[in-house]
Amino acid sequence: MRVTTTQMYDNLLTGVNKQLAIQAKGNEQISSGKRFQRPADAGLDYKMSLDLRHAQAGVTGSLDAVKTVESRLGSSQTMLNSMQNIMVRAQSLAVQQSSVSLGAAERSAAALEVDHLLTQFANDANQKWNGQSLFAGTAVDKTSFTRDAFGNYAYTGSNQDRIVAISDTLKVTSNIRGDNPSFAASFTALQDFKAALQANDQAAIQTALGSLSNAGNGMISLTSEVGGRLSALAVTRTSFEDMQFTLGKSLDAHEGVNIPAVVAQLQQSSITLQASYSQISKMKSLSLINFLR
Amino acid sequence: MISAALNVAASSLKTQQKAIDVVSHNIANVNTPGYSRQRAELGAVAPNQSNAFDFGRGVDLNNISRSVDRGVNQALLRNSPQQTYWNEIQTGLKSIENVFGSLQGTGLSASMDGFFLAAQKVANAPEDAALKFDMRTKSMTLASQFSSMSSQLKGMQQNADASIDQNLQSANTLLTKIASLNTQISKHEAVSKGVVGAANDLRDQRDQAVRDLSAFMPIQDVRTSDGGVLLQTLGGDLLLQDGVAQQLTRGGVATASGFQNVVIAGSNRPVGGLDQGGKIGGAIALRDDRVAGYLKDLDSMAVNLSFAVNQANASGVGSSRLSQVQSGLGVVNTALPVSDVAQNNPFSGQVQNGTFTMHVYDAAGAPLTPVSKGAITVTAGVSTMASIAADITALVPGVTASVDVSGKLLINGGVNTVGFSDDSSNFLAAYQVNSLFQGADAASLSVSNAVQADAGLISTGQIDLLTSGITLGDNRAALLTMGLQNKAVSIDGSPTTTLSQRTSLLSTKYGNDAVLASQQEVFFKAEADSLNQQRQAFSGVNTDEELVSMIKFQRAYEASAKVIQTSNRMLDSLMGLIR
Repeated sequence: MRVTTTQMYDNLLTGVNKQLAIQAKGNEQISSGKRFQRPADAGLDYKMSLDLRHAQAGVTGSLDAVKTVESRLGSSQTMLNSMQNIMVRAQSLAVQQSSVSLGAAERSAAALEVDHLLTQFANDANQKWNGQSLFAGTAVDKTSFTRDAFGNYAYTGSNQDRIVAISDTLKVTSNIRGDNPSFAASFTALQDFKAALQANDQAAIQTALGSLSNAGNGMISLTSEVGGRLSALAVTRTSFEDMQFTLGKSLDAHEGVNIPAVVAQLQQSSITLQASYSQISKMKSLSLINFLR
Repeated sequence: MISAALNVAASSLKTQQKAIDVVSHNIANVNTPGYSRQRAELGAVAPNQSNAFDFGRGVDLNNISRSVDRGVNQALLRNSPQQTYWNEIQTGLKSIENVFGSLQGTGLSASMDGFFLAAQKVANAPEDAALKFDMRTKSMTLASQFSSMSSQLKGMQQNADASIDQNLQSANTLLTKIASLNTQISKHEAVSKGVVGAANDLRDQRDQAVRDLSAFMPIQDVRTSDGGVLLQTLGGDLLLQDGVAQQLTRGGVATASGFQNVVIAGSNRPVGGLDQGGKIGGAIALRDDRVAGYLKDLDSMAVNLSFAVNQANASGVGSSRLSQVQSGLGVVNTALPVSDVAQNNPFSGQVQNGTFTMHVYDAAGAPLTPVSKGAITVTAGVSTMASIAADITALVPGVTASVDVSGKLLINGGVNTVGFSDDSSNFLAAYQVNSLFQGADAASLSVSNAVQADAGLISTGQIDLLTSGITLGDNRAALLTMGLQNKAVSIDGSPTTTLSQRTSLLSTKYGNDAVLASQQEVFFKAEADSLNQQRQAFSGVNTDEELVSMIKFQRAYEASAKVIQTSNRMLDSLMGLIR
């Protein structure tokens, strides 16, 4: 085949451009730590990255949601524990005050403590978390329980639960509503106990003991229910944390560059490039012109 | 006889000199694009017969031929429009790669994820005002991403269109040049009739101009028997014949994407086959296919997002309400039903038979007494904006509704505020009443003016249909918005897919187009390199070859001069005998 110097220069130039492209790509990969950067680098790979990142964003949202539920239920549990303690103290008082040896003065003094317990119970039931009523359902800006002129407490929250979306398919209830019968039973039992003490009515105190015991059991059940929900949430959280870890790993594996392979390729390309430059330089002396005198 | 030797030597001197001229011309044009090496074809001059012998009369230059491989030239004509077509697309796509983001900032995809993440947070704590501010910011970022992408893509379409104009000018200049060369070649070869290939350099220039023209558009090159060139497009439109060139210009019926077609001056018919290659074809493909496709997908994504989110928002309520509510979109013809597709509203076709309920609250925020609510019936194909306004006015005393000059619905509650619920007619979402987004496509998508002013208007809960009651922690509307993230939607006839998938599909579509264009460009560039190598091998000037030829001709010249010197001495000797 006939060969001209233009052909040789063109060939070398094409090779140099090719090697420079390899150098540019390799440098970009090493400096970014990614195999590709833009959709134009690898269309389908980029889509997979977007899908993985979308899944990561979803998991982040789910973990945030789990934290919200845990926080709300955790605060509810603390208050329920406090209310449960109030009921235990009331039961203990009822046992003491049911003794035939006690008189009106002792029971009147005990009534004052029960009134204090009742106020404390109401405070706990109206407790707020982040400025929002814990037990008022979705009526978070309302007080859960209000006291009427006769000293009776009534639920004034909504009958709608606070649903938290952990994902678009997993929704959980993040609250305990004050219209749960255990609340009303506890208020009634405490009020009846107080009235029995004020009336120095031993039989009524005996009856109140039973009511307090039942209401206390109700609060224990409610607290246990919250505990159960929190345990279930811990499992959910672990599962999302695992998913987050796995997605992070998958993303690294998918996007990450194989540095040794790229360095080896760069080295190889560098040698080729140097040889090409050297050859271009030598080409100018490889002509008959250099030998004509 | 000595004089015969002198004449023979003289013919050689002249011929070797001419041959060296050819060598010199070759060396001078070693780097001239399109130049084909020329060769001096020498031949012995017809002999003289004297007695029984033929005596040679020396040498002459019979022809200067050029080395051209017509097959390679034709292959280059086919390759060139393909290479430039894909290069134009590849370059154009590269210039908009920032529109589709990168792994460092995934653009629309990250904005979409951010928006739905914010919606989830609001859904999980609807009473939190800070989270609503965050969702408003994320909504604005998302809307601005849409409009920015749309603006950049439209800018690319304009650039491609402008590039068509520039390329047409260059193509017209080349057509004129080829026509002129056709005339020059014809005249030149007519003058030197009988000397084949006398217009070598002009022919090279014409071949190069035709190749240059093929970079702008695919052409068919027909050689006429008298050495002329006839050019036509792949669609059969005559571009050039002999010395007459047509001129390409813009005009005729607009293309589907609203741009002017390319026509031959004086005709309204679009030039056929332009879209099959060349820089002009590449720019057309970029403008009317690639970028127009991305814009269509982007608009589709915007209208689906906007309508789906607005559906959830329109039937919901936030922590604030307005006393004056204006629809985001209006009707262009108040006499036509709101469901009519001629309303220039991409959502009007979604209006169906159904009702929506309007709730009115007094200045203290309590449901108005004695009447706080009422249902408006919307009948597709019947209800007009004016009839809906009249129904609203008749619904609750103190609340009036009208249609403003831009065809938008305006509800005025006076000192009262209004809320909406249970829209089964889609009217509220279609006309963007109580909506989060407003706008009819990606370019015009924005967060509604009302929400921009008050993030509390982002709907989180729903109004109780019986009591008109609102609870701050209700998150039913927010849950609907959040659930759209992975819900397949389509209101515009596009394939039913989730918004997230649409986002990644758009990037993938662009990525695949860019990869294909890049691969095709590399392929055709490699083919062009190979063809140019073949052309160089056949037609290129090899300086070593030329120098060797030069030495040969120089030596022949020196030898002929020696013959003259010797003959001269012989003549001197002869003259000496006479003296």
